[in-house]
Amino acid sequence: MNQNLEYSLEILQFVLDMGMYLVSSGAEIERVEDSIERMCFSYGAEKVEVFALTYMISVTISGNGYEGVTMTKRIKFFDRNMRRLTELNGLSRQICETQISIHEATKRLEEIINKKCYGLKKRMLIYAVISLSFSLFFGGNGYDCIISGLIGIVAAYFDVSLGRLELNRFFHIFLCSIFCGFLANLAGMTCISITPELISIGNIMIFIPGVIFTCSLQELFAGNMLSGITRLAETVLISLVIATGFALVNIIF
Amino acid sequence: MNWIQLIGSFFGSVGFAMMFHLEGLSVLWTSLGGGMAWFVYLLIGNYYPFYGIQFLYASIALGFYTEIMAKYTKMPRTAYIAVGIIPLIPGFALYHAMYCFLQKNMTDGKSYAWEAVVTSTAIAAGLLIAMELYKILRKVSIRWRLAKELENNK
Repeated sequence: MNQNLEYSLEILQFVLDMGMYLVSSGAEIERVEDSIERMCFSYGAEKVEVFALTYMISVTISGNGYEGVTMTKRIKFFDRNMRRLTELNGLSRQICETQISIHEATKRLEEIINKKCYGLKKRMLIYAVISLSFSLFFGGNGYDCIISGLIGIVAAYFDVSLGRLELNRFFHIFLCSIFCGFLANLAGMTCISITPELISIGNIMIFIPGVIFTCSLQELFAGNMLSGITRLAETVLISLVIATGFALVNIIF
Repeated sequence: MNWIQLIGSFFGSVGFAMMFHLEGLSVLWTSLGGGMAWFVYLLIGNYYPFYGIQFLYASIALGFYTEIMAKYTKMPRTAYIAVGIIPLIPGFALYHAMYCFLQKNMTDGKSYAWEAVVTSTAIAAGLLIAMELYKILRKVSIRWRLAKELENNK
């Protein structure tokens, strides 16, 4: 009986880790709850109750010889990582289809988590591509696009070095937007055919939480009101912070 | 057709696909969804130039693309949706709304905020419609196939 309880605690720990990484890499709440439930059932739980939010998961399982074991996990970070999500999805599917032992599953989870992410150079490339294509998208001319791309490269460096200071998330974005806005306005002073607004819009698209905004509405439509509303509040705050940053710089110039 | 915007939307999606840690061919497949969504947006704009309707149709198309591609490439739908909605998301409107509010320009701010809300509601609704329609189609086709098999067995 005691052994059963120990086993169930082990399952819960693994399942919560899995859920945490699923949520933090950007999975929908519905999908996370569903896959946790399935994994628990395939490991032999008889009853499963899952409740997930964007920053917390709570799971209760009961089975043969124990009743109502609950564990909770607080999620503290969020990084949209689709590669990790794909791999985690594959792992959870494999657990449900073929019985992998919990030890092997834990090992596989660690392997997935420890895969290296991109470094500074790739981040620079990414920021440049995004800024360049969005200033093109919103109607900038050649100069605007090139300068926007260059600011993107510098902004990536600035972003990464600010990240080392571990500031408050909103203040971090605020400083980034001030930095980008300042550079765009500075570039606008050098040449008449350059419009600072069209440069900035490319840089704004890097930081603006449009994806989270749309995701929050998806969550609301799916019936997860709490997660939807927390994400909605987050987007409103972040976009307010970005707009404040750019507005402050524009007032100076 | 606004080719520059199409190119911009495709490469913007490529950038975000890389930002979401995708690699290799999956970058191409996911960002093609974004390009296609903006293509549908522009196409509908020729006949019915109201952004709410345009975004609705674009996201329905994106939803079907997502369902089909997620099935064939065995990747989660979320990856396709997250990259594909990049050209559609109301980032510009969201930023401008806040910017106008800060400058006490309430009328413009309200209209931008309204645009952001309409846009993202249309996107979310379109994705939902596509998802549910795909579910219905799949169930109907399975039932149809089963009925045919039963007939053949008789």
